[in-house]
Amino acid sequence: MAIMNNNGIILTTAEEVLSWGRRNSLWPVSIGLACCAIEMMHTAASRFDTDRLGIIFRGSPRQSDVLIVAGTVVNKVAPMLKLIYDQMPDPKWVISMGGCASAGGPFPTYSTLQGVDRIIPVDVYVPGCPPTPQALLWGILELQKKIKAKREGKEFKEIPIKKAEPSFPINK
Amino acid sequence: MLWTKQDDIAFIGDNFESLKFVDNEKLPYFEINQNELLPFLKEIKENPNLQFKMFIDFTVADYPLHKPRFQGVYFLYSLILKKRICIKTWAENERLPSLTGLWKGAKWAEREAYDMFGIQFEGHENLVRMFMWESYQYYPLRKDFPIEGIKDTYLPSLNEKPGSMPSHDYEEYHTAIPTMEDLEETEKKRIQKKAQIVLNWGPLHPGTHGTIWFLFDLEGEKVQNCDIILGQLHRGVEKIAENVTYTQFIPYTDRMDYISAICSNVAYVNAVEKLLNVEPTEKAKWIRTMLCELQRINSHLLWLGTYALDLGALTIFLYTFREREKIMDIIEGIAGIRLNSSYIRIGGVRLDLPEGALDVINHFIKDFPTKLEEYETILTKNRVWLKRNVGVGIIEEEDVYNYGLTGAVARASGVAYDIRMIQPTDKYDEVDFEIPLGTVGDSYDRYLVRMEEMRQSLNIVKQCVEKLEKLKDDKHIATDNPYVLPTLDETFISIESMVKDFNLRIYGEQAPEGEIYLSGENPRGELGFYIISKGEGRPYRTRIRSGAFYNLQIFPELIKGRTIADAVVLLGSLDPVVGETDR
Ligand code: SF4
Repeated sequence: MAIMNNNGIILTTAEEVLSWGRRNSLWPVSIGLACCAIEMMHTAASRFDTDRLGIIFRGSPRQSDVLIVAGTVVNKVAPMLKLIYDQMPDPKWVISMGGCASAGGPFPTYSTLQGVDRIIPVDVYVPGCPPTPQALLWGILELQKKIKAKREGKEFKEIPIKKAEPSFPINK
Repeated sequence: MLWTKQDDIAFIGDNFESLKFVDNEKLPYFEINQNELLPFLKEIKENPNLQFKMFIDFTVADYPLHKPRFQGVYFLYSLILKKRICIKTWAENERLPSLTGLWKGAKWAEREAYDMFGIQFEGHENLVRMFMWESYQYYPLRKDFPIEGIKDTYLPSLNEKPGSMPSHDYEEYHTAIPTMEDLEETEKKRIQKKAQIVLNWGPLHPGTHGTIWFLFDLEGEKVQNCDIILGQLHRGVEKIAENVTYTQFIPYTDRMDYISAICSNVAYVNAVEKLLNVEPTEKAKWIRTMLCELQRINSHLLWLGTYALDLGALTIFLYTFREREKIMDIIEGIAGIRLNSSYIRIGGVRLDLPEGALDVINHFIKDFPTKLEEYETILTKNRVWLKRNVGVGIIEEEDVYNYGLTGAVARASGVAYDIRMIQPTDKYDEVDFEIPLGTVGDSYDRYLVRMEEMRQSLNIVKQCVEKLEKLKDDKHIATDNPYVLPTLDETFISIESMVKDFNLRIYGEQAPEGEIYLSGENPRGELGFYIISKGEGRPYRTRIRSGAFYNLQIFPELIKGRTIADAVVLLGSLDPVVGETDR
């Protein structure tokens, strides 16, 4: 916590400053994969204008700290997406945008990756097909909360998902 | 579209013994033996009275119980007769002669057929996989291949914490993912370094409009050789089409060409309606025409914005997206969803126009021309714009036919090929509009053509609004037809509708046996649907002829000998959408 005394001096910790800076300057890699990318572009363009939140799309993974997986990840592009993720400097976060990136979406086929979390760890899932720009903004704000919570030593409280008993035995 | 019949080509018929004509009502076709195929095609292409010069599509259908198993289907267009022809031939020993000597446009289509069905093409210059990677072992579109693929790789979610329960039920086994070596091999098979360096552009590059992967063999800055790897967004849409009912497939059509979702919907639904003999209501037709044209403006705006952005004009990007938001709002107000709206239904449209929709569109019609002028003031006479665009990527008229180019790309080269004119669906025969044509066929012409198309589209929208104002009380969907899903209200009120709804949703529309090929004019070119029905609730095979797929094919040809900087211009002016090229 930052404390300000009457002389205009702010006392804080280095970690707090870092976290504040990180969550307010999330720079995503500008990668568009499919339809969701169009909505991602809309989020960045005139009306929703993510620049307000310090979000500036970068062309290179080496300059970015967020990967917004916007669109269908097919098997063929998966290794390259992983490569891009590996090229990003730490700390880094991943937002999985849309049904396809989260779980394969409407394409349960031979060529589609059923969820990008099988190759890279995901921090925030944004549902929708495609999610509206508002939904993506929600996802970004959620990520900011997560970064903040991590800093304060708390685990970010995720909405608990009740686990249903499997209705059929899975034989492997 | 009129289809060529026996009489049209009667005067050459005697030379080909095996030529057979089958006079189906919906799709009359010719059948010919494999050994006579090439001479026959050559004849009808070069005969001055026929001139089937334009390559439309090639595809394959799989009949596992028939011998031989695979059938090749060719679609061509005649410049003189203004008719299409459909030619079929059985692939003996899973081999077919390659058409690349006659039409360069056949190159990718044949590669696709090889990739999906495993058919060999004799005489093809480089028969490699089109969408999948080189070491992939299966042929996915064969009937005996399961839609979900062969799950043989252990690939659990990385978000699972060790020791804890998985967050949801899911299969930990997954279809195989290529390794980097596989992809490298894929690359090597397509281009061999002859000049200084092989430069990779894409697949995950902001300038490639999606996930296209370009390979340039560079000598200094000059491109000596180029090839394109597609398939980074191959989602198996054609396979899905065989496994879902006709109505269920509608949402997949917007996810193919996601920038012009409604146009794709309309093209598909029109084909299905023709197959099922469903006649949509008058009002639905007008709504479709209006929304198609709004979508076309929307799509061209995205093209303009990203094109200008790629050439360094960020302002235009922000301006066009301002207008796009307005159109998206209109579509959201009417259909309920912004982007992939799935608004069109068999027999009509999903919902009636909401109150005030026409007023909003009227306002847009008044407002938009000034905006269009704004863009043109910034770009059309701009020195940088002219320098980068004029004379880049000139497409000759011959190449248009050769490669099967359609849409604005063809029209910029002076070919008046517009499906809205030659085969009007919906209400295109009742509205008044013009087709802008280019003279040179360079990138600048393509830019001008698209700008003018937006004006024409606006004009059509205006006429539709005038018409729709008079049709306020009409029905938006022809629910009397047995193939048309009842509206929500009807389902709740009457038990018959409920039963009908249940039947159609569970068993699908039991289409009569037959085939159909129908296309629509998408912003990116001709989007055709070739549907084979065996009288079941699901189509036997659906082939999607994608305009962007064929348009992109000319890219390697055009970039040869030019500098690498022109690649951005060229790609932008061809305007492909990967969802549609890869399907
Ligand atoms: S989630 Fe829907 S909109 Fe997004 S990429 Fe997948 S199909 Fe397209």
